Amino acid sequence: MSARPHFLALEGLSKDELERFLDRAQEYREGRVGGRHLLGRVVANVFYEASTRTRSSFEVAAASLGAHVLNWTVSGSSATKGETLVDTAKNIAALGVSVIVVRHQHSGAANLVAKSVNVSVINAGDGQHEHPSQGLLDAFTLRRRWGSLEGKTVAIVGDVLHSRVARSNLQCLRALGANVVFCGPPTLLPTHLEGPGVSVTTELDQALAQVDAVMMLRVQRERQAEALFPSSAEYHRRWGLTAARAAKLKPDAVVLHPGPVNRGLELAPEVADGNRSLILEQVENGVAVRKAILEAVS
Amino acid sequence: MSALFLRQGRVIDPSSGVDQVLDLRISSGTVLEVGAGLQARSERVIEARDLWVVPGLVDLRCTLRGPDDVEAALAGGLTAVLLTPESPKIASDRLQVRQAPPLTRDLKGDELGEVPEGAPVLSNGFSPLVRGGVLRRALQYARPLGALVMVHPEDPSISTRGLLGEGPTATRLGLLGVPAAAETSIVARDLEVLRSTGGRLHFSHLTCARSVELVREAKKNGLAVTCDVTAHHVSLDDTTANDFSLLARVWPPLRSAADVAGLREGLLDGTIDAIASDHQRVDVLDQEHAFEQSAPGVDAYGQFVKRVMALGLPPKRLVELLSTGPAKLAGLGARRLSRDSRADVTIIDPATLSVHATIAAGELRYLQGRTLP
Repeated sequence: MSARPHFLALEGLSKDELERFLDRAQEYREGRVGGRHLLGRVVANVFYEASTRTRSSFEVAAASLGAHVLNWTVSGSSATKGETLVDTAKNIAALGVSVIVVRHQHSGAANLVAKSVNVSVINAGDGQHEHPSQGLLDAFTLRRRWGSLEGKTVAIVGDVLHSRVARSNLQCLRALGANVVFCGPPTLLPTHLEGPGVSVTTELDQALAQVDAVMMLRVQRERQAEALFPSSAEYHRRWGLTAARAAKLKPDAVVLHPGPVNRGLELAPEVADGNRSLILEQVENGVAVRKAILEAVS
Repeated sequence: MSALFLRQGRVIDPSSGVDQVLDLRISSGTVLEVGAGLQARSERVIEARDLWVVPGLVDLRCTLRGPDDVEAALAGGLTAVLLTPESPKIASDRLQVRQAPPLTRDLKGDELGEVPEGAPVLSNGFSPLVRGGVLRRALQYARPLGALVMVHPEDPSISTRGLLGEGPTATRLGLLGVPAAAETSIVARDLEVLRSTGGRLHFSHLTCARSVELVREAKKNGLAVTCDVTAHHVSLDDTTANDFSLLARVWPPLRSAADVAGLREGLLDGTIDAIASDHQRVDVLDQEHAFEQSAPGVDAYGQFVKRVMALGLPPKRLVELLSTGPAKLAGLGARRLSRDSRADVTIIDPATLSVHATIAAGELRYLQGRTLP
């Protein structure tokens, strides 16, 4: 419907396009631009799924660009009364907002919203599909550390099957020239992940041997109820980043996690808080990256 | 009752081994005459030069919600349909409508459903038969009645909440993949059960190349097994879901190009006995949600003949798959275009791959884009 710019997925973005986002985010991060680019605009945060950091990060980014932020939550809206996603989106658009930031539990939701309204749409995570602002901020964090991602190897570990973060990171890391190693329980690895520059293993020690960064994915507790792995203890033993494993990483290798961390499950507390960890920096960088995204679609 | 004269169409009638340009005279619901060089009398003449004149198409499985669906079926070239047990009951004096009674009570797959006198088909619709023992009893019970036992082969503990055939597209889009084993493991199980019980077993809407292989082998071994596919499963693969297109929101799910190729092979070599539509309209409101929350279904009739024609099957085979095959399975008797047969005729334009006219029980119901009273 709309020819407005959207930010729905990292798939399909070229290296140049990604780097433009990263460069702009860098300028925001260093305070080289202040700009109140969104002054007088309204950014609607439409979250169908609980989120603290992504939502707050978009809110801070939008507010500091001068926008007014409208927070639309499911429990406080008519979505619980059976209104369709398209209808809800049209109603929010009719309020005169400039940007809709949408988070939804089902893949393709942001895409559908973008097709339905004449407003720019930012995907803040759709089901198991993509979480493009997270993928971009992860790449930003690594680029700040390394200067370039070219030729680096990043392990993405855990519940890849259900992870939108993994999919966005795969697209972004590959486009920026990094190699990816996926690792997790065989029941949590989707088929057809392998490709040029992408390998898959179920053995964590093997996955970690040569990597420059480890991205630990959050284990969703309900997966154990679905019997996709036997127990939390076993998960931690086989796929958890323990202090012992972290000690064997390359000396300058770093650890990322999209948060919130299940401490002691996928990530040992001493690793999460250790000097390899970039977790807080990810949160910090998130605001700058989201400013660049908001600016690009407005 | 109308009198119709179909002039110089290519009459393709596998039942009588005919494939030649002929005239066809219809009156009072019956084919009066088929031959070359007949003269029209006072009948309404339909010019059929360069068109295919075939026995009326039969849909082995659909859900019809009302008169709109009946007209869509007629416009799609159908002259008879077999409703799924889930479908609302529809009566029509325009289209021949039968409904398959439920194979199990409330389609729950636990107890056998009541068998109406003379029912040619018992169907479990879109509901899986999770317990093999129930299939065994159903085949045993239906065997002396000669009824066809129609099943939807799926192990829901394998398909879980899957949305699209397992593969690169499902992985990339973050749509939970449905492993082929969700279907093939049940096909294999059911064939083993059939081997021990006898009876007639029919698999609905197969989607996997491997399932076709299993059925081919079973037929070779003399088992009384038949199967069908849908027009969309032989035309579309899983990449249809790109961009979350709701065209791919169908159940069973779309699968890989290799699976589509395997199904097409089965169409050609006779392993597959019919092409069904699985027509089931989805309300607009049920499409205003993300892929997973949108209701599955396909508004099939507008594309049905076009999709099948696009496969380029030999014309005789096409007629077997769309008319004589499903008619036999649905217990509608032989479909033919010979003297004294019931005048169910579909006229197809091979140039545009579309339906030109539909004549149901001797009445012209659809002609060139228009529905007729």
